Amino acid sequence: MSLPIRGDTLAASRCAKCGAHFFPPRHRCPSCMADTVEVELPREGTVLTFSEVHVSNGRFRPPYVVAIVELGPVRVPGIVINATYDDMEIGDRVAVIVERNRYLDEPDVWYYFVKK
Amino acid sequence: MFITYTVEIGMNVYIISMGMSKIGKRKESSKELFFEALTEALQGVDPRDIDAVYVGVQSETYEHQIMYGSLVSEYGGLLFREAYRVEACAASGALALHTAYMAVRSGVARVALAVGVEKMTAKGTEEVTDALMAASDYVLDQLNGITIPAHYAMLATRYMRLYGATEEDLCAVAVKNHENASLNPKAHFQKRITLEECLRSRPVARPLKVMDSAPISDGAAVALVAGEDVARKLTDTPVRILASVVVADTLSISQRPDPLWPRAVWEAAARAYRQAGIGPRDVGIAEVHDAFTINEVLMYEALGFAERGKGYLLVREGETQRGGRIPVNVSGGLKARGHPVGATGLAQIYELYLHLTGRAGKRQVNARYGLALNEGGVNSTAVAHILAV
Repeated sequence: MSLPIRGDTLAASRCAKCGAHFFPPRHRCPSCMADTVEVELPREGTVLTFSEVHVSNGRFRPPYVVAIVELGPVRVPGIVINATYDDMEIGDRVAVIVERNRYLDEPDVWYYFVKK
Repeated sequence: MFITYTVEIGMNVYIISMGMSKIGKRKESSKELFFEALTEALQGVDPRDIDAVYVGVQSETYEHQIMYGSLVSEYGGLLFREAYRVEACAASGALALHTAYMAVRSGVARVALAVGVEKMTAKGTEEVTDALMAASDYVLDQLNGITIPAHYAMLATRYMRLYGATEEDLCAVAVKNHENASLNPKAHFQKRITLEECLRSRPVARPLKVMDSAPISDGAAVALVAGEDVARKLTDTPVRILASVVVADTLSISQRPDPLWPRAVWEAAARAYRQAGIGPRDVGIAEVHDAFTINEVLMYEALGFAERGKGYLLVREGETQRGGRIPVNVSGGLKARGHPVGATGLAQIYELYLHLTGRAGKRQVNARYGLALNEGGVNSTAVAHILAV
């Protein structure tokens, strides 16, 4: 499984031929079949949309806010750890943090969003 | 090289008979629910005529069971035929019909049985949520706790802000579908709900609430499919499958250029209209995948019933209620007819079949063309059927 965490940041891939980006990273572009290069993603992004989960699958502890964030050239879904639904708006800026996984045993570290 | 080509092959394909179990919280297992539906479908048809069986089932989690092809063949007295399971989450039922259609059209089977079935209520809500979450991207969605309802909720959040729809507009879809189901004796719920009840119901994934959401249900539906020669011999009321189309999109809505545009639904519908030689204005009745109220609205737009950003106005103006310009989810939809996931696609077809053959009782809509749009994941696999008499 290709995971996107590199130290305290997130990584994506860029196709060396057509420039398409992939998140999480992958070795080859499916359109060109060309090799990709890994790129570091910005540490801040913009909220495209969001929700607040109240019924989950037993492993995550509701309520928690989830969002899709435009992070440079890719879109990244994730949990926003410091906001409620009523605090959030489309276009909000969020920062990426990497820390010990709050909900699952694996992977042991994971990324989260912090509303600024 | 990139090749475009068209193939014209095969014969006209018909539904010759259908059956559906009562949908709801049932004590029976999935094979028993299947047999209840089969019994209805076999009135006037000899089971020895069936020579292939395709079964749509979402998950092995609920009954700790795979091998549904053999399972239903054995329980239905249909052994030693071609029989297997097909799966695209909540689109599994329509996928089974598509497979039966292909088998008949290609000559692999003369009479094919499409089955959709799911037995879900023995598991709790968290377990069902987890089993359905398997339809989303593992890294992007599942590791982030983004449930399937949360995906639809994120669509609702953005839709409401971009186009001015309100939580009242979404609840109005649920109110309409419950009103329809009050006339459907096989529906999970026969009770009407008010807008206030919906708005007051507990949140599932904000802004979506319990009453914006389809219930967890048990049920089964089946269709017998045959070519024109066989159909004319076995029934006086064949319903022609004018189009049967399957289209795939990304698992995660985050990977779509415009998350609010369910492109697989639009592609499936556009190809189905082309196959059938009709357009959206010709559709007299439609069953669409209202797993959550927001999705019925998104489908109005992708199916060409409304312009982009204006789907919610169809409900406000009553255009999709019974007696409206284009009645949608007259069965009650997933919301109120119920949503036994693998059975849903064929439950939609069953509703169209009843109307097109004049057997829908108090909720009868007279139509020449019916459209069903069944999807799995979050519009990640779309299956469109157009039926006609």
